[in-house]
Amino acid sequence: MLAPGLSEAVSHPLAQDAFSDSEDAICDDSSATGYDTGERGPVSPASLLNRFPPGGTWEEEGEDRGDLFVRVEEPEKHVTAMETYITYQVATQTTRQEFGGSDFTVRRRYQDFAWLHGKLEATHPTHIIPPLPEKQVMRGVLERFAAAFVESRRRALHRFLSHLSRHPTLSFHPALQPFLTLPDLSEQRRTSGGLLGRVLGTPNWLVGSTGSCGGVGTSQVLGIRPKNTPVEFAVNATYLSSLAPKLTTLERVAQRVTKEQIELATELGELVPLYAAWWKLEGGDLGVCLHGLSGGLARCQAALLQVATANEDGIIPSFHHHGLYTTAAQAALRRRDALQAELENKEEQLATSPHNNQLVIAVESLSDSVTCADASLRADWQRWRGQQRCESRLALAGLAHSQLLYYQQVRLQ
Amino acid sequence: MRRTSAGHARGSAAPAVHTTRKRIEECTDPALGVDDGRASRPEEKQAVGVQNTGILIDLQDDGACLRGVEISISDPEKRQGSNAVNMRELFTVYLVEARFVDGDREPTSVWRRYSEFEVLRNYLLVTHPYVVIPPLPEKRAEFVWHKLSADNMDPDFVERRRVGLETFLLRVIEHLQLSRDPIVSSFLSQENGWKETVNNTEFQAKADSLLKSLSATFRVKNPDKRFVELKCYCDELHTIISQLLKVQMRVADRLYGIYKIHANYGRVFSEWSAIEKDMGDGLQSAGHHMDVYAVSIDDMLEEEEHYADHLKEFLYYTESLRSVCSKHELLQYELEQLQYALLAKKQQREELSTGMVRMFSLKGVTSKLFGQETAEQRQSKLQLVDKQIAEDERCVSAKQQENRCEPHWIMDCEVDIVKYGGGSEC
Repeated sequence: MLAPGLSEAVSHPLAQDAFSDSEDAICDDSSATGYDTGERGPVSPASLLNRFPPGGTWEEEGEDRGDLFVRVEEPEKHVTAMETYITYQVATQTTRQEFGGSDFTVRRRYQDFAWLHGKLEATHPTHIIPPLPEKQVMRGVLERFAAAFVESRRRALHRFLSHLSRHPTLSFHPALQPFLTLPDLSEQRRTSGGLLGRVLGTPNWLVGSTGSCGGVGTSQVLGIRPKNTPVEFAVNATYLSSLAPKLTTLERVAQRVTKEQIELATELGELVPLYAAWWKLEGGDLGVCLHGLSGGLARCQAALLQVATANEDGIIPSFHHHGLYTTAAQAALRRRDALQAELENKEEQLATSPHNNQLVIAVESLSDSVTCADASLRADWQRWRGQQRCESRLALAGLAHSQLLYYQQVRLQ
Repeated sequence: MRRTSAGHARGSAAPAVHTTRKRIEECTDPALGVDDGRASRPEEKQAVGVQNTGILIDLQDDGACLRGVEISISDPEKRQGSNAVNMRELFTVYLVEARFVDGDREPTSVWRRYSEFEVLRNYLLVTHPYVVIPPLPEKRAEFVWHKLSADNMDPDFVERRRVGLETFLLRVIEHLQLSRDPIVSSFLSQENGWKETVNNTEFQAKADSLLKSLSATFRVKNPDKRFVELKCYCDELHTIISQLLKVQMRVADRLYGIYKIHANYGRVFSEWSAIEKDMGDGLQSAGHHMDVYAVSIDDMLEEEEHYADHLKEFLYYTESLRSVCSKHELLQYELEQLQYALLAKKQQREELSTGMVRMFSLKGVTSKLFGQETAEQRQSKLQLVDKQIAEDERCVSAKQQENRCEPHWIMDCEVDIVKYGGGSEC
């Protein structure tokens, strides 16, 4: 059986034992309500090869793979008696059978996204959940509806859903389908609160507060450190904790640069009419030079504004998103750690009273969970690293490209 | 790009009136000028006596004393002295060396400080009122960017000032009328006591009275169109350039800020590359690139400063030109006054000679009251008036001659400026 996304641990998709050995499949059987095993639309080996080049790198070429494509677009403002809010259109195209159709279009607001995110976190605590854009609790009413803010949020929500839809495990979460298909989600939200969590057996204490994003609201229980953290996770945790502040700094630097660029463009704009006035005053060769100078400055101004816009659309959200993802990964690592700490705790208890059957069962199940969690986290980690590398590369290349474009535009024709 | 090379180009493209070629030398060898063997030479005998400056201008190039001189200014040195309020201050002196191409005079070298250049310029402004006097570099470092304070001792500033002073002297020397002034030649040769020489010409008093008459408002009945146009041009250009300089300074500041912020990018990218395995190399080179980018602004801003210096020269030239226009206006005004006075005197004369009273006048009334005056009285009055008329006519003709001469000089200077402007834009 073929999962839409394959971890890099598997070297070649057509390798014989690839799928049956996939740890993803074993672990997630317990949590997912079932894979769609059968018909999946014509998938030829050749097309498979195209998608998974033997080098194993994950080429991000848009969402032209897989069986679930989601778009977030067309924000709209809704005014009711109680409140004003924005909804976004979520368009889905899928070939999955269980959806019962191939095209869906619904409108969702931020709260709905947050609900979905909370559900994911609750049932897959040791997966790296794609991050949502932050809540805007500090901003005033006006800021929330400003066009630029709405647009950047729309992009972030789009990123969230597209990452989600490509995740081999998370995209099969039971909450996703209603999210994408039901016209009205409010009933779902009301009735399914907490139920899934209990059904799927995740201990409540492990679940962070629902409705938060990126693992910000994890409870203090997760502060327990296990004694024997596997090296790889410890290394990852260290890496993340040194990466996170760097990304914040980079984002701040980029914002500062963009702001200054916009101011510079304004000031260049002041120079243009001055040189034009001088040019009119003079004649002859000097006049020609001044005319050229005036035109050149105008070009500089326009090109600089384009660079600033490109920064705002490209590198800044990229750093931000990377930072959010880092936080999500850190949260997942912490939850895994907490799980292992619980296991160690129980094991110690068992050591003192070895004949407590309850304890024995508890230790066994916990031990299973820990193994599962380790495996899923490892897989997710690999997946995320590859994906992030591509995204970072794209963003940084975009930064360089916008600079090149600037010089090209400014050059004398 | 050394700025003096622009001056060199200009020298070769100068209009035909200035026939002598100037060579500009850069004297940057620190060995020269420091030791005391180069103390001032004994004062050169002035080859030209004191001229009657101002009224009669000889337009011929008769090879007056200062044509064919090579000037170089170098070696700024710090000296200590006490200024007007008797406080110790630090100032910079420059070594001014002059070499005469025609070989019959020995080279001279004196130490001059900025304020002495200023005195020279003020003197020239007064004694040659209808010549556009070249500008001096700025007294204090204005329009300074990305530096915390305007420091007159800053080596960059001192260097730019040195170049400005050299250009000033070269232009003075090139100018036919200015170069013949004995004060200029003594500036180049007389180390001590030059200040007294200058003050002895009492130019300061003339400057004060000129200032007073210029500041009084006066209307000219028939303003010369050329000068009115010139004045308008000067005013507009002055406004434009001063605004340009302000905005340019802000732009430079901000540009500097942007580039330096990129150094932060560089630092974080480098740090990031240390913790990555796969992206490490790429991030490292990205960081390196950002650092190079951040540093590249320093050279660019240096060029900006040179450009700003040129703009400032234009600014000062417009001020110079404007002051010439004002002085001309004053001249015009005085001419008109004289002409009216002449007209009135002529009328008076006519009245006296014909005995007729044309218009109502005090004379007519008194004659009615006290009877006609005697023939002798009339005769003597007639003679007096005649003499006055003759004098006035002479003054008028002199002024008119002055009037005719200025445009020539002004056009020369304009050509100068425009050529310089054309050269500097490239």
